[in-house]
Amino acid sequence: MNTQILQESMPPCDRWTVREVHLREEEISLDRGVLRAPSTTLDRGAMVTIERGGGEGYAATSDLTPSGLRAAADRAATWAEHAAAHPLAGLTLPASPATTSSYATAAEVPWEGESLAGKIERLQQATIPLRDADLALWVATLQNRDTTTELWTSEGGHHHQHIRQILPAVMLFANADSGGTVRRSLGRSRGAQGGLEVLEAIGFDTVAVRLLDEVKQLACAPSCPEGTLDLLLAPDQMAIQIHESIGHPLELDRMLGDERNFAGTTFVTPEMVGTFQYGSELLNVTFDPTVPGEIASYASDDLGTPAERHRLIDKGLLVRVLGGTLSQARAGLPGVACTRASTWRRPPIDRMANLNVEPGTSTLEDLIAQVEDGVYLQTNLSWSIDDSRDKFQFSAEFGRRIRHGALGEVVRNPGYRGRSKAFWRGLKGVGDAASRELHGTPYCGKGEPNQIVSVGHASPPCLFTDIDVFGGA
Amino acid sequence: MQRRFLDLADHLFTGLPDADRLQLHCRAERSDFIRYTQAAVRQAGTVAHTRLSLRLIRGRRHATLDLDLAGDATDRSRAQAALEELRSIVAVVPEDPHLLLPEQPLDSEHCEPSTLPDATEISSTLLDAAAGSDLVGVLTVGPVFRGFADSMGQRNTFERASFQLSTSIFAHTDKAEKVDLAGLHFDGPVLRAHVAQARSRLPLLHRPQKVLEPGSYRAYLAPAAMAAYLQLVSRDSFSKSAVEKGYCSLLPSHRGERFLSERVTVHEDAAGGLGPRFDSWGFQRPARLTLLQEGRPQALLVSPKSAAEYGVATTGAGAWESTESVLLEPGELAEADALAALGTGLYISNLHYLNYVDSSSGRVTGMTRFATHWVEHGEIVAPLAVMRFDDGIYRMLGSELEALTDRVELTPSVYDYDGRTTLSFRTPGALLRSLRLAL
Repeated sequence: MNTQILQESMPPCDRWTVREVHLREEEISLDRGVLRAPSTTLDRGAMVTIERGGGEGYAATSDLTPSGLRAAADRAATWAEHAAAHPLAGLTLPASPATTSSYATAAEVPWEGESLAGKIERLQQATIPLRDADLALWVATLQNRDTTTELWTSEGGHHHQHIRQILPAVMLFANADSGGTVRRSLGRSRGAQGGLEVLEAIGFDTVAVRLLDEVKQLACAPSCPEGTLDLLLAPDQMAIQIHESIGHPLELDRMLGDERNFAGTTFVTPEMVGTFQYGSELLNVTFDPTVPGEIASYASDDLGTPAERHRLIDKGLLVRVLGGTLSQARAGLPGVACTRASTWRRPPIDRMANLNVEPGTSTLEDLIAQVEDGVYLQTNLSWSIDDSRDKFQFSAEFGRRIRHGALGEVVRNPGYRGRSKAFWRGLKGVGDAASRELHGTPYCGKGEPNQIVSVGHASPPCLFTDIDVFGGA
Repeated sequence: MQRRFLDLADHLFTGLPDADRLQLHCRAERSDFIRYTQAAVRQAGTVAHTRLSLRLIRGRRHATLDLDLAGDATDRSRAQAALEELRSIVAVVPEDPHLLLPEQPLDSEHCEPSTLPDATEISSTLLDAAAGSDLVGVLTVGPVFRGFADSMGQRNTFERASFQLSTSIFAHTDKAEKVDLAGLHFDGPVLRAHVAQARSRLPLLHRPQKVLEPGSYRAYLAPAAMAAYLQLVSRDSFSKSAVEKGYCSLLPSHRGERFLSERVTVHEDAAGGLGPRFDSWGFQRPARLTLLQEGRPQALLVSPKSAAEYGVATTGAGAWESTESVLLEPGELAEADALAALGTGLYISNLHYLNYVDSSSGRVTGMTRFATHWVEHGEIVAPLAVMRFDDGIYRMLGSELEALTDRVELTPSVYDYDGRTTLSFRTPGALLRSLRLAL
C-alpha cells in the first residue's frame, strides 16, 4: 500500500486513516510433560477511519484489496455521518501529524532463528525438575508475538512498527496440607520485547527449581495473619498495584466518562492535575515508551503521535494524565501518546503503555531492615478494584513475614486491601535501580467493544506502611 | 458465511492424503458497534472478521493454525499454505496421549436469516429515547457464524443475527440505572419502554448516598448480580480437570464433604443457550447437563482432552471446562416481593470485578455497582456508596441463601475480547440472610 493508492480508494471525506496490522503468534506448551498441540495464529487486516462533516466512523476488514478497502471506507463513511448526526459535545477530531516514524524491536536471538524442535527441547530441559515432583499440575509455556503495523494518514503520515514480544510462563499447583491447592508461578507479567534472549534475562531455564521449592513451602505454610502491618511488595506484585491503582485511574477517557458502562470511571478529576498529592514524595511515575525491551515500547501511537517519555507523578504530585490527542482536546489537558488499539478489529482508545515507578535509593535489604512487623509479597495471585479505581483488594502467591528487620516464615494466601486515594501516601521506601525489574503483561482489558493490549510496569520493590493485611479462608 | 466456509472446506479436503485428517473450525462475525457517551455517538464502526482454525491430525500427532480469511480469491491459497505449514509442525511434534476425536459424524445446520433493521435505525431509536440523558455504553448488531467441518465427513453450521444493548443511564458520578436488552428481533417500543423505566428510577440515585461500615448485612442480589457471581464460580466449579487436580472451588462438594443449599440446582443448558450445540472440534454438547441438583454435584464438564486423560465420556466442553449457557433454576420468592422479603439490607443491582480470594475454599470478593441501594422495611431509602463483599460460596449459595426469586433473567455475556461471544447466564435473584462486606 501507499498513500496515493489509498487516497484513490477513499470516498469523499475530510480525512482518512488506514491502519494495517499483521500478527503472527505461536505458542508451545507442556502440560505435566505432555506437549499440547502447538498453535499458530496468522492475524491480519486493516481498519479504515473516515472523517466527514465533523463525525468519524471506522470499518475493519481482512480484505486488503483496493475494492475491499473501498467497501470498508464506504461503511466507515456511513458511521461518520451517523456520528455527525448525533455529535458528542466537545469532540473535535484533532488532525493527525504528517510525520513518519519507524520502530523495530531489537531481538538478539530471533524467535524464528530456533527450530520448533529446539524450542520444544528448551521447554523440556527447563522443566526437568518438575517431571517427578509431587504436583497436582504444572504447565510451562513459550509464546511469541510478532506484530507489524503500518499506519497511513490522509495528511501524508506513515508509521511503521515491528514489535516482537516473548511471553514465557511457568505455573505449578501443589496440594496444600490444609486442603485445596497452592500455586507458585513465574507470574503473569514476565512478557517483554525481544527474542529468545529474554528467557536468559529472566532466568527461565532454571526457575523451575526455585518455584518447586517455594510451592512445597507454601503447601505446608500457615495462612497469612490478619492485621495492620507494613507491606513490602516485590516488583511482580508492584506491577498489578501500579496497573490498577495508578494506571487505570489516570486514563483521561475514564475522566471524560467514556468507560463508565464497562471498565468504569475514576476517582481522579481533571482538577487534580497539578494539585493532588497522589503519593508520598518517594513516588515518581513515568509513562515511558522508550525503554528497550519493555513490552509496550513504541515510536508512535495508533494515531501517529510521536511517543515520548513523560513524568505523570513527580515526588508524589499528579502532574500529567494518560490521554491521547483526542482526549487532550476534549479535556483541555496535556497528555501522552497513548491512543492504541489491540488489533485491526478495534478502534484506538486511551491506554497505558509502559507505566513505571522510578527507582529510589534503598536496596531490598534496606527495605526489609526498616520493617518491625510486616509481610513481603511476591507474584500477584488475585486482584479486584471498584469501578472508580479506589477500593482495591489484591493477593499474592508467596508471602514471608518480616519481624524486627529480618525475613521470617513463609505464609500462604497473603492479601491486602486499601484505597488508591490514600495508599500511595503510605509509600515509605523505594528500591534502587539494581532492584528494579521490567514486567509486562499482554492482558490489560478495557473498551467497548472489549480489547486487550500489552502494558509494561517496571518497578523496584516498594514498602508501604500500616496496610490492612489478611490471609485465606 | 456458511457457503464460503463449506466451499473452502471441500477445497481443502480434496486430495488430502489418507494419513491426514483435517478439521476446520470457523468463527465469523459482521458486527456494528456504536459506542455512546452522554447520549451521543462516541465511536461507531463495523468489524467484519472471519477466522478459520485448521487442525491437522496424523495418527496421534496434531497441531493447529488459525488464519484470518479475506473473503476473496486469496483465501484458498493462504489456507493451503497454512496446511503445508501444519504438515511441517506435525512432522516434529510427539504423539499426544490425550487426543480424542469424534468418531461418528453428526451433522447439523442452524442458520436463521436476520430480521434486524440496519444498526443506524436501532441506534437512532435509542438516542431518541435517551435524548437529554447521560447514556453510556455500546450497541452491538449483526450476525455471528460458527462452522465445523471434518475430512471424515462431519459438517456443522450455525448462524444467527442479534442485537445487544449494554448501556447505563447515569444520574451522577458512579450512580446509574442499567439499560440492557438483547434479542433476535428488534422492537422499538420495547426499547423505548426500557429506557423510560430506567430514566424514571434516576431520582432515587440523586438521594444522598449511604455509607456502610464493614460487617454482615441482609442482601438481595438481582439477577444481573447473580449472573456476575455465577460467571466467576462456574469457571472451575464443574471442571473435570479442576476436580481431579484439586483446584476447584467446590472441591469439598465433589468429595462429598459439604454441600450448597438445597435451593441450588444448576444446569449447563445448551439447548436454551445462544450458541451452537457443537464445540470447536466437532463434539456435540448435550441439550442439558445437570451440574448441581439441590446443592449436590451431579455431572461435570469434560473436555475431549480430559475425557482421554481420565477415561470418561466427553460432554463437548471447551478447553477451560467452564459453563457456556448456565441456568440456575428459579425458586419460589415472587420477584415483586423481593424487597419486602429483604426487609432491611442491601439491594444489589450489579456486581463488579469479582475474583477469588482463595479458590480452594470458594472465597470470592467483588464490588457493588450502579443502582445498589440501602433498603429499610422493604423500601429503598438511599443509594449505597460502593462496598466490597468478601464471602464464601458455602455461605452465599449455602447457609445464608434464604430464597431465590421465581423468574430467571437472561444475561448474555458482554465480554467480546476475542470476538462476539455466545456465552450466557440465566439466573433468578437471590436473597441472602447475610453477606459479609469488607471495605
